[in-house]
Amino acid sequence: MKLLSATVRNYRTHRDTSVRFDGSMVLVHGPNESGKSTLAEAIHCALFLKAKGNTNLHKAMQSDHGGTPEVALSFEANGRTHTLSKSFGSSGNTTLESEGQATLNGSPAEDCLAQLLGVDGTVSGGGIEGKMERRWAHLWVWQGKSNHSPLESIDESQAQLRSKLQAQSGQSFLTSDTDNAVIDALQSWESANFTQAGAPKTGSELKKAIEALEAAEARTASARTTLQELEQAATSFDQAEADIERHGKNLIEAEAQLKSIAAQLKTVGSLREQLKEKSRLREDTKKALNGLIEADTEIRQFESQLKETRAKAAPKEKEIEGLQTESKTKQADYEKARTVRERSSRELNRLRSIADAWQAHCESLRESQRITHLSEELKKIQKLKDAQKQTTKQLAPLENFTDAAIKKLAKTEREAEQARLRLEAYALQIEVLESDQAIQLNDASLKPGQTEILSHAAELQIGTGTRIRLTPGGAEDLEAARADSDAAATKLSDALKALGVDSVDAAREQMRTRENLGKELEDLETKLEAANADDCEQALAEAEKTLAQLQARRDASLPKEESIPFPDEPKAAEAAAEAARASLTSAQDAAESAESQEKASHKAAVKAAAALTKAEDAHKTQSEAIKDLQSRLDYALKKSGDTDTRSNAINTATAQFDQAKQAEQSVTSQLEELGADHLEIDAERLNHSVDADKKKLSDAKDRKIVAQTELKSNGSKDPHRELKEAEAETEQCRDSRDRLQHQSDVRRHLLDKLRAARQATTAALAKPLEDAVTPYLNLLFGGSRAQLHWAEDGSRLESFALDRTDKQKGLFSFGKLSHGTREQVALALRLAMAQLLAADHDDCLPLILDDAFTHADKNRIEKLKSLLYQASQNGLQIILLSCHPENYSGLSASEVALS
Amino acid sequence: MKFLHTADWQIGKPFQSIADNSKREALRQKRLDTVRAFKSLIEEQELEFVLVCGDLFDSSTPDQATVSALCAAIGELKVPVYAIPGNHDHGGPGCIWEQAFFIREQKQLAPNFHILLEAEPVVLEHAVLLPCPLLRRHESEDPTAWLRSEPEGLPKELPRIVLAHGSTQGFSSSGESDSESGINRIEVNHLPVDSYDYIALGDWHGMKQITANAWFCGTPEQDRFAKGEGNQPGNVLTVEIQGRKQTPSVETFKTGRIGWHAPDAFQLNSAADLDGLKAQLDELLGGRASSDLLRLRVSGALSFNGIEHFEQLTESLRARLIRLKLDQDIQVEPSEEELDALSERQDPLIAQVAKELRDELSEDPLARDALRELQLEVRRVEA
Repeated sequence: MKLLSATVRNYRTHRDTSVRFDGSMVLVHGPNESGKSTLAEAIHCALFLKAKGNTNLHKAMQSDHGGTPEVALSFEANGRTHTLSKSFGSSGNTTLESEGQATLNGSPAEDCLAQLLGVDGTVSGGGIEGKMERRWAHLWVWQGKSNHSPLESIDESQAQLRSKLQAQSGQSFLTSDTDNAVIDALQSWESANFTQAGAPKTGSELKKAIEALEAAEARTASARTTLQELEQAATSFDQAEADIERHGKNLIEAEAQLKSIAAQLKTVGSLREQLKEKSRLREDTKKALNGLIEADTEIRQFESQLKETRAKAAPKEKEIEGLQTESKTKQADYEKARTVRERSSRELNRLRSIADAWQAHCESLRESQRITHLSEELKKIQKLKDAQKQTTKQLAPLENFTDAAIKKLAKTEREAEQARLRLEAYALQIEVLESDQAIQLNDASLKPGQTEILSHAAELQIGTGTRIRLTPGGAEDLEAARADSDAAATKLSDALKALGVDSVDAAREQMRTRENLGKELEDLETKLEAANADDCEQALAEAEKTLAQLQARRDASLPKEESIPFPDEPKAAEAAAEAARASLTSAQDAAESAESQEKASHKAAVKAAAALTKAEDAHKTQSEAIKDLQSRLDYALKKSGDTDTRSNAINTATAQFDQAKQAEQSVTSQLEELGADHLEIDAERLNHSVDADKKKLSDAKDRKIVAQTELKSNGSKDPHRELKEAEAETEQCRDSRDRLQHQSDVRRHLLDKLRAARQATTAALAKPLEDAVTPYLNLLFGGSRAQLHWAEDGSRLESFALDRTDKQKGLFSFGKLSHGTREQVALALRLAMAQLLAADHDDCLPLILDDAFTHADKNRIEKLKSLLYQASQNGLQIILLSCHPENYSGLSASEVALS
Repeated sequence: MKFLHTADWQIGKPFQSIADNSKREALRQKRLDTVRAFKSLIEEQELEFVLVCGDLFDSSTPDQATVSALCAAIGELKVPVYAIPGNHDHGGPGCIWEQAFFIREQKQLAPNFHILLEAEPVVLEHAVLLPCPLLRRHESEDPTAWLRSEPEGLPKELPRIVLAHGSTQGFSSSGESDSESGINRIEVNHLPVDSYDYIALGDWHGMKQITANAWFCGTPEQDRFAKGEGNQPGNVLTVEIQGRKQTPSVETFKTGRIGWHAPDAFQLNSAADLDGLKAQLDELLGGRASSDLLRLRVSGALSFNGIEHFEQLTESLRARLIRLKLDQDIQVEPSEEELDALSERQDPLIAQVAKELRDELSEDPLARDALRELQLEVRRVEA
C-alpha cells in the first residue's frame, strides 16, 4: 500500500490543501501551525474513520472556513490505484473508486477500504478515540510519541504479525488452549505449593508431609528415650540387687575378720604397754649405771690433774709470799704518812678559817664606825626636810595676789560702800529691840535684835491682833538705789570670793605672809641640796650591806666547834687577828712537810704492790687451774662419795640393768610371736574395706530405690507400643513425604518441559522479527541485537530489549533506555514490523513520522537518516512531517511545503 | 485329666503398620474375643484348667486398659488359668506382673488367674506344674535348666507338666519364633525323658509337635503373615494325660478368626493378568470386609489404563481389608497407542513434550511418571 496524494478541504486549518507523495520518501514541511499534523490526522481519519458520524472526532474536524470536512486520497493497494473521497459529518459519505472496478459508495466503499487496508472495518461507535489510536499505530508515529514502545500499540496488528512470523519461522502452531490450560493448571498447582525459591510452601501437602515426618521422628526419638530409660532402670535394678548382695556378703566377712583381729590386737596392746614399761626401766638403770661410772672416772681424773698442777706451781708461790709481806709493810707505812698529812691539813684549814674570821671581824668594826657617822648626817637632813614641809604647808592655801588685783578690789569695795550708803538714805530700817509677841514681817518672823531694811512695801504683824503696812520712801529712787547697792555688793562679794579673802585688808596681809614664807623655803632648799641626802642614804645602805656580809663571812669562816668572843674594840681585834695569821703560817709549813712524806711512802707502796701483782699475774693461770680443780674435786667427792662407796654403787647398778634388759627381751619376743605389725595392717585394710562396702551398699540401695521408682508404671501408656507406633508412623510419614516429593518432582519436571517447549516456540516466533530489526540496530549501534519476547501463551509480543552483550554492555529492556535511544530503537522496530507486514500490502506500507526526532541530537539524526534511507530501500514509503527540513538534508526525499 | 494348652496371645499388640487406628483397635479387640471364645471349648471338652506358655501381653509395659481387658477375658474363662511370662511380657524388676495395678485388677477381675514367676513346682490336685518363667527379655540360659535333674520331692503319682517359652533346636531361624537366635533357647533333649509327662511350649506362633510329649501350641489368633509352608497358626491344644509316664493325647482346635493372606507374588503385564488377579482375590477374600489382612506382592509393567485399573483395585482392597500390605514393583509402561494419542495431539506443546518424554523413556527415570501425569492432567483439563 502506498499513498500517492491527499487533498484536504474544510478540515480545521486546511481550506483546500493538496499534497502529492513520493513513492519512497517525502518530506512535508512548513512552519508551526501550517497544518502538518492535521494533514497526517486527516489522512488517518480518511483511511479508518467512518465518514458518517457526529463524534468528537467529527466535530473536531470542523473548519472555521465552514463547509463539510473532506479528504480525498489516492493510493495503491492490492495491485491497483484507488481514489478515496470522504466527507465527514452527520451526512458524511465515502466514495471509493478503484482502477478497473465499479465505484463504491457508503458502507460498501468503507468495507472495501477496510479489506484493502487489512483492518477490521471502519472505526465508529463508543470509545472512538482509543479505537482510532490503535489503528495502524505501528505505522503512525504521532507527534510527541516517538519514544513510545511500538509494542504498546500493536494490538490490532498482533495476529497479522504473528501469522507472518509463524509463516517465516515454520512454527505453524504456537500453543493450543489445552496446552495453555495444562500449563496453567500445573503452574497454579506449583505456585500454590512452592515458593519462588522452589521450597514447599507452608500449608502445602508436601510441606505438611515434611512437618508430619519431623513430628513423627521427634515422637519416635522421645518414645525411644522413654523406653531406653525404662530398660536402663531395669538393668540398674538388677545391677543394684547384685551389688547389694555382693557388698552385704563382703561386709559380713570383713566384720568377722575384724572381730578376730580386734581380740588379738587387745593382747598386743597390753604387751606393748608392758614393753614400754620394761624399756623405760632398762633405760633408767642404764642411765644410773652410766652416771656412776662417769662420776668415778671424773673424780680420779681431778685427783691426778690436781697433783700434777700443784707440783709445777710450788716455787712461784714461795716468791709471791715474800712479795706479799713486802707490799703489806710498804702499804702500812703509806697509811701512816697519810694519816699525819691529813691531820696537819685539817689543822691548817682550821687556822686559816680562824684567821679569815678575824680579818672579817676587823673589817666589820671599821664599817660600823662609818655607819654611825652616816646616820648622824641623815638625821640633820631629816630636820631640814621637816622644816621645808612645814613652810610649804603654810604657803599652800595662800593666794598669790598682785598689786593691781588688790587695787581693783579696793575700788570695788569703795563703790559698794557708796551704793549702800545711798540705799540707806532711802530705805526704812526696822530693828526689833524687844518683843513679848511674835513679830512677822511679810511671811518671815522677826526676832529681837534682828534688823531688816525695807525697800518695798511690807506687812508687819505683831502677835495676832496687830498688822502694820510699812512703805519705805519714794518708790522709784529707792528701787534704783537698792539695785545699785545690791549690784555693788554682789560685785564686791564676787571679787572677794574669787580671791578667797574676806576683805581687802586680809588680801594685803596674805600677800605679805606669802612673800616671807617664800624666802624661808628657798633657804631650806639650798641647805638640803648641800647635804646631798640621796648620796648619804645610798652610802649608808651600802655600808650596812657590807657590814652584814662581813659579819656573815666571819661567822661562816669560823669552824663550828670553835667559839671565839670577838671584841668590839678595834685594836684588840687587830692584835688578835695578827696572832691568828702567825699561827696559820707555822701550820702551813707543817702541812707541806707531811705531804711530801706521804708522797714518798705512797710511791714505795705502789712499787711493792706492782711487783706483787706482776708475780701474781705470772702465777694466775696455774693458781686458778688448781683452785678450779680443787673445787670441782671437792664437789664431786661430796656428791659421789669416796672410792669404796662409789665402787659399791656401780656394782649394784650393773646388776639392776642386766635384769631390766632381760625382762624387755621377753616381752618383745611375745609380740613378735603374735605378728602385731601385720595385724594392724590387716585391721586397717579391713576397716577401709568395711567402710567402702557400707558406702557401696548404701549406694546400691539408693540405686535400687531409684530404679524401682522409675519402674513403677503409671500404666497410662505402653512405652513399647508408643515406640512401635511412632516408628510405624514415621515410616508412613516418610512414605507419604516420598510419594508427594516424587509426585512434585514429576509434575515440576513436566511443567519445566512444557515451559521450555513453549519458550522455544515463542523464541522461534520472535526470531524473524529480531532478524528484521537487527540490521537497523546495526546501523544505529553496530553489532547490537533485538530481543523480543512473546507472552508465554503466545498471545502478544510482551517485551522488547536491546541486547548489547557483544559490546559487554549488557541487556537493556526498552523502559530502561534513554529517551533518545528509545526513539531510535522504537523506529527500528516499527520499520522491521512494517517490513514484515508489508508482505500483505504489495510489499509496501507507508510510515508516517510526525516530528519523530524530537529527542535526537545531530549525531543521532544522521543515524536515523541512514535508517530511513535503508527502510525506503527496503520498499517502505516514508512520509516525514517536520518544521525543520534542514534536519533531513541528504535523504534525497522529495519535499512538499505547506504554508 | 484334661487341660487347654495355649500361648502367645499377644494382647495389646499395636499393629502399628496399619495406618487406620480404628482398624488397629479392631484387630486388638479380636484377639481378646478369641481368648473369650475359649470358654465354650473349655465347657465342651470339660477342661480342668488352662496353661498359657508366655506372651499373654505383647508388651512388657502394657497400658492399664490392656491389663484390665486381659484380666476380664481370663476371668470369663472361670477355670484356673496358669501362665508363665514370656519374652514379650517377661518378669523381673518392674515387670507388669508386679505392678500394683495388675495385682489389683487380677484380684478383682480374674481370681482364677495365676502367673507363675518362680521356677518351682506348683502342685495341683491332679497335676504338678513345673514353670520355667522368663524373667528378662533375653535369657541367655536355658529356662528349663533347673529341670535337667528332677527336682526332689515331686509327688510320685501326679503327672508333671513343664511350662516353657522359647525356641527349640531348629526352629529359631524359621521366622515364627519371637526370640532372637540363640536366646531363650530351650534344650528339650536335655530334660530327663521319664521325669516329665508333657512339655507345654510357647513362643513359636505356628503349631508344632517337637517330641512325643513336647508341643508348641502356636498363637490362637494369627498376628502376622505366615512365613514359609506348614505353619499352622490360629489353634489351641487340648491335652489329656491319663497318668504318670503315659503318652498324652493331644487334639488341635481351630480358634483363629482373622484371615492373614499372603498369596504368591503376581506378575502383572496386561489387562488379562489384572483380571486373573481380581479373580484370585475374589476367591481368597470372598465378599468379606474388615476381617482380613492381605500381603500382595505384584510386579510387572502396566499401561496407563492398566495402572489405572490396578489403582482402582488397590483402592477397593484398602477399604475392604483390615490391611493391604502392598509390595509393588510395577512400571508405567504406556502402550504405543497411548503414547501416540499424546504425541499426536493437536496441542503443539503437549504433543512436543510427549514426544520428548517418549524419547527419554529409556534414560530418564521421571519420564514414565511425567508422561502419566501429562495424560492425567490433559484428562483433567478436558473434563
